[in-house]
Amino acid sequence: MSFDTWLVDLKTQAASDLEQLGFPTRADEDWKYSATDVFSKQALPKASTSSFVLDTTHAYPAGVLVLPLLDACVHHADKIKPYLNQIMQQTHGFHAFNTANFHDGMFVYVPEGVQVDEPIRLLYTQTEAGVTRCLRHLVVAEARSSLVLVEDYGSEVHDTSYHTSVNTEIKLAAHAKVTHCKIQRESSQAFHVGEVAVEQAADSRFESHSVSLGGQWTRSDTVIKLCEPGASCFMNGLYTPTDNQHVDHHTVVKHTVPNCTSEQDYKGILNGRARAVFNGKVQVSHGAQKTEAKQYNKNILLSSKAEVDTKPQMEIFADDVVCAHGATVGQLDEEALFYLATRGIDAELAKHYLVQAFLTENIRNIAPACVRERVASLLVQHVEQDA
Amino acid sequence: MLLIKNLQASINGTPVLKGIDLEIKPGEIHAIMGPNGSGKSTLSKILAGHPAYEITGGSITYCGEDITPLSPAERAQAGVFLSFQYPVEIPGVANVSFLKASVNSIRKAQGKTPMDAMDFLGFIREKCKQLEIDESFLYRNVNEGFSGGEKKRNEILQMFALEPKLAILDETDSGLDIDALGVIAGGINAMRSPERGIIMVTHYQRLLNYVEPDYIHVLADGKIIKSGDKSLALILEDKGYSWLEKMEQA
Repeated sequence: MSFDTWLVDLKTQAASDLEQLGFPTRADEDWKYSATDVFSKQALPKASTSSFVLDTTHAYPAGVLVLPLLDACVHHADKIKPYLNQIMQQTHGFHAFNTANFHDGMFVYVPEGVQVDEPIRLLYTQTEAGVTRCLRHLVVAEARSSLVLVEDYGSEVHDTSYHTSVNTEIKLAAHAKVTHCKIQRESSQAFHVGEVAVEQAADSRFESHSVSLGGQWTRSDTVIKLCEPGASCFMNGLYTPTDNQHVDHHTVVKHTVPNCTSEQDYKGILNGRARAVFNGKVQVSHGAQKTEAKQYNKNILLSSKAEVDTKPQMEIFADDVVCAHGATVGQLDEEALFYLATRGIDAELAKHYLVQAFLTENIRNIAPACVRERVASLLVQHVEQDA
Repeated sequence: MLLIKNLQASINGTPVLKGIDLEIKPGEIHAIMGPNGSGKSTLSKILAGHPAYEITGGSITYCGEDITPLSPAERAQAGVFLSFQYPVEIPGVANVSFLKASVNSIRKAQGKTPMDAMDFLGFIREKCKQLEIDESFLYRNVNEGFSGGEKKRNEILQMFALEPKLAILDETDSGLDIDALGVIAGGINAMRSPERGIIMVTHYQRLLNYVEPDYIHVLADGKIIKSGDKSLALILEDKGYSWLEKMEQA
C-alpha cells in the first residue's frame, strides 16, 4: 500500500513530537495518580496479528463507508484530511505515539441525512502477548445523520501482558447524532491507553458509554468540544476494577459557545486493592451563556484496600449558566444491607443486589437495547467472577 | 415466644433503651405506642438485629433461646420478621426475584426444599390476590418508585410470603390513606393465628380501630411507662402522651 505523503508527513511529525514530548510522568498534574513507566520503559514490538471482526449482519445504507483507516487514507483522503489528528489535541506523548505508530483502525463515514440503525461493532481481540497494538479510528457523521459505534477490546491471551493504544476522533456535523460505546475488557495484565476526542457542531447530540472491566492499567479519556450552539452531550461511565487493577478516566468538556448542555455520570465499584481515578473537567468559556453542565462521579468501595481519587472540576468564565458537580466515595448502604438481611438474604447475594442497584441507572441510559443488554451481561459476568 | 428482660441498648455510646420488660405469647398482638423519639423503632430494629445498636444489658429470649448473638439473617431464618417504616429501594432487581430469594433462603434454613420458579409464581400470585395487589407489582423493581402505600403493601406481602413466627410491624400505618389502611389491616388480621406473635409499633391509635391488640404498651424515653389492654389507646387518644409522661414524673 502506498500512502500519500501527507500521511507520511503526519506520522513523521508525530514521531518527532514524541521525541520532544516524551511520555508523561507523575510530575504532570494530569498523570499524577497514574504511573506510566510500565508503558514507557518497556518498548514492545508492534503487533503483527490482532483478530478484528467487523460485526455486522446487514449492508449499510448507500454512501456509508466503514473500512480500514489506512485504506481510506488512500482512497478517501479528501474526507479524512480535514479531521485526522485535527479533532484530537496533541497534548501528551501518548497522542503523538498513537499518531506516529497506528497500524490499524477504522474509518466510518455517514453521509448527510443518512441514519445507520444497526450498531457498527468493532471487535478487537488480542491474540499475541508481549506486543503493542496501536489503533486509530475516525468517525465523520455529516449533517442530520446518525450512527451507533461500539468499540470492544478483548483478549484471547488471558493473564498475559501486552499494550493497547487507541485513539478515536469523532466529528459531528449539525444535527448529527452519534452514540459511542467503548467496552474495555482486556487481559488482566494488559496496559490500555486511549482517548475519544469529539467535536460537535450545532444541535448535534453525542452519547458516550465507557465501560472499563479489564486491563491491569487503564487510562481512558474522553474530550468533547461543543463548537456551536445547541450541541449536547452525555457521558456515561462504568468501571469495576478489582485485584490490582488501575483505571483512570479523565474527561474534558469544552463549552465554547452559548446554549449547549453536557451531562456526565461516572460510577465505579472497586474491590481488592484496585485503584480508580476520575478527573472531570468542564470548561465554560467567556460568553458561553445558558450553558447547562452536570458532572457526577460516584464510587463504592467493596474492600478496605481499594482506593479512589476523584476530582470533578469546573472552570466557568460565563455568568448565566447552570452548572452542578459532585463526587462521592462510600460503601454499600448499611440500611439497605440490613433490610436484605432481615429478609434472610445472605451477604453475597445482598452485595450483588446492591451493586446491581448502584449501576442500574447507568445501564438503563445505554441505548440501543442490544448494546445495553451486551453491557449488562458483561457486567454481571464480571461481578460474578469477582465474587 | 418472646421474653425481653431489662433490655438496655445504646447507639454510639448514647443510651436509647433503658430497661424494657416485655413478654409476648403465641397468638397475641401487642401494640407499642409512644411519642416520637421514645425508642419504639429502635426496639423493633434491635429485635431484628440491627448492627448499629449495642446491647448493654438485659436479655432477649425468643422461643427459649437467647437471640442476641444471631445475625439479622439468622433471626429471619428463625422466623422473626420486621416490616420497615422506610423500606429500601433496590433498582435493577425485580420484586419477584427478591421475594423468591427471600422465601427460599428461609425455607432452606428451615429444612424445606426451595420452590422452583413455577411453584413460586403460583404461591406468590395467591398471596397477591389475598392482599388485593396487582400482579404487575411482582415485575417492578423492589420498591423503586413505589408510593408510600405501595411500599407498605409490599412489606405486608413479604410477611405473607415468609409466614414468620414473630412479626414486628414498624409504623406500618404511617403515610397510608384510609383505603390502604383497610387493606393493610386486613392483611395483619389474616396473619393473626394461635402460633404467631405480632408486635405493632405505631404512633397513632387509628390502626388499632382495625386491628385489635391484646395489649398496649406506652414507651417513653426508652422505657415502658404504662401497659394495659386496648382501652388504654382510647385514653391516650383523648389525653395524649403528655398525660402519662407527667404521671411518670410525679
